[in-house]
Amino acid sequence: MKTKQVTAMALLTALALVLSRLERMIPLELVIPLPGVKLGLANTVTLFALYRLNLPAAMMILAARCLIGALFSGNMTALAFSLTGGGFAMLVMWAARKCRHLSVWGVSVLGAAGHNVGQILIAAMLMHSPYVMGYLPYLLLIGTVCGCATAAVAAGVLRSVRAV
Amino acid sequence: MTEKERLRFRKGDGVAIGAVILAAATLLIFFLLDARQTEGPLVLRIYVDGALIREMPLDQDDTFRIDGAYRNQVQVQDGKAAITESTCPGEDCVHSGWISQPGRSVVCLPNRVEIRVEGRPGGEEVDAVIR
Amino acid sequence: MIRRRICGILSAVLAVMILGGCGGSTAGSPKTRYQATLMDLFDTVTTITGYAASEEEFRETVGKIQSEMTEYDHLYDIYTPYPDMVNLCTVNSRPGETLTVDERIIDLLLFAREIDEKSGHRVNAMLGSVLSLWHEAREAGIADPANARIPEAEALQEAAAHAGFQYLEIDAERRTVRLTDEKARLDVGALAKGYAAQRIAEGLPEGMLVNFGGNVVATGAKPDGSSWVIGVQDPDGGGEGYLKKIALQTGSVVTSGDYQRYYVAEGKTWHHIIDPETLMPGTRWRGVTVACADSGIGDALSTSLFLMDREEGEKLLAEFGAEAMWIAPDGTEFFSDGFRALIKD
Repeated sequence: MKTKQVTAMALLTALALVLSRLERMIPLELVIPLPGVKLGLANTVTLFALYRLNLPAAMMILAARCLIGALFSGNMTALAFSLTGGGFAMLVMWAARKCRHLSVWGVSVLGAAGHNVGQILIAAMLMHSPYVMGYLPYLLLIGTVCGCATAAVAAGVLRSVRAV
Repeated sequence: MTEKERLRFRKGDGVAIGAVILAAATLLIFFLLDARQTEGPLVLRIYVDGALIREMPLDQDDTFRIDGAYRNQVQVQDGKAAITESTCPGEDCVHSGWISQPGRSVVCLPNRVEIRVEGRPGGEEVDAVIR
Repeated sequence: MIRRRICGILSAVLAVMILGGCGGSTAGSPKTRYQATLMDLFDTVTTITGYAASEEEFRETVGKIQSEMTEYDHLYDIYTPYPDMVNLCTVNSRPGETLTVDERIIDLLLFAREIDEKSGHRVNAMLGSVLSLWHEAREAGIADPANARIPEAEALQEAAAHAGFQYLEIDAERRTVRLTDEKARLDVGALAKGYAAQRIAEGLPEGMLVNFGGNVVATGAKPDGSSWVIGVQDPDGGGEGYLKKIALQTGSVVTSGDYQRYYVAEGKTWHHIIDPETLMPGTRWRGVTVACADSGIGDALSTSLFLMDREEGEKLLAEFGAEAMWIAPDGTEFFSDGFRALIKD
């Protein structure tokens, strides 16, 4: 059981890294000209880990993904961004999942919104500038769309992978 | 962990998505209103010896005369401003031409006068100008 | 067990990275942008831009710059004597005498002597005998344009015989200087402002931008980490466009141009950058902009490059690790290899 879970976590971390690498090849910012706009594919992994593993495991996968991603890119500011964004998203999704009225769709969309809020907060802090807040409404709208996309993927995966 | 999984779209999801969109819309309206307040029309501020002595809206044609050691004629026209006449030696200020971008200024050193376009916070295109 | 260990290692690594990576930049309260203009220094306008927590904090920095700059201005003034001060005007007015001077004068003159040598005497602070003739002619010409004249060739030739560092004795240990020729004069116009700007900038807080009349010095990026943007205007001025925009975080940008200080006489314009070889204003370039870590060197280099062909200029740039942009009389722009990287957009 333990070994199985560690293996699963390692696999999921690798998958998340590949996904975040992959989505950097999709030039979404060409369509939507906002800094830092992305699909959030790696969030599917967090979502999956929350549903099929547990919160601590999801946290560790997220931390490992952000750390290794930052080490790959050598960008420590990016680490602060991905950790706060991903962390916010995960906490929101963890809480939202407890709500009886929400399916994986609502959880995912709220998670995306949490991601946006977290990133904007860290950006405002790092840049000493409240002006970046102005991006939030746009990011939220795009996040909703991306959150639905993530949910569709996650629903399919969760349906076919019943247990780890 | 597999009991009663909720994978299908539910009514509650619609509410959640609606709430996020509503929040975004509210924020957007709030920021747009706020922006309209801070991004007012540009003004020309006239400083003598570093002290502000007059503000002129850049969207209203007007003139202003400064009588100091020398005499400067400041003119605002079509959203631009310039020192159009001066009794100072060399008349460098007149040769500096017209300005309209926030952060730009014209200086008459002998008369210790600076006219500067200001208005939008952080809206400066450049931080310093050399020539 | 395994999980707990992984957990422990991960959180330890995480803590180190967060503390080391971004602990510094998040500290401190938001800062506001302030700007101040000083008009009584080095015969030019000084604009100070910076971010501070309060206006008082900014005023304090401005006050510091103003008082330091005033001291440098007075010490390096070659036209005006000040009571209770031995400045360069005093040195010029008392040739033959050994004068004890402020350390800052010694430092400047040693720097000037080095620059004179390295620039092949293009930037010669001991050319005062010649430059004073041009200065007088220009002042008179601006005051009375109808009767503006240029100095006579014979007078310039005669004055040039009294130029050069062989006529200046500097005793750094005793802090004394002496002009050994009756007609030799100092003129530090090509480098004093940049030199003083550099000394002052070294004592400033990080993240400020000071434009000492075309001698721009930045002491680090803006609080949000972005670069300062310096607009280099077209020599013909007037318009609001910029020839180039330069991104600058730390270091200096200086321009020398034939349009900065000039007068009209005998139907032509005569600018202030005099070529020591011809004793006339240099005509090779319209302007040269130099980006350099040290503003004193940058100031001297811009003048020097203005009087050199490009090849010789490139060599000098390489020696000091500086970059430059040249504007030819026909408006053509030339860049040193590293300059393009500084251009924004």
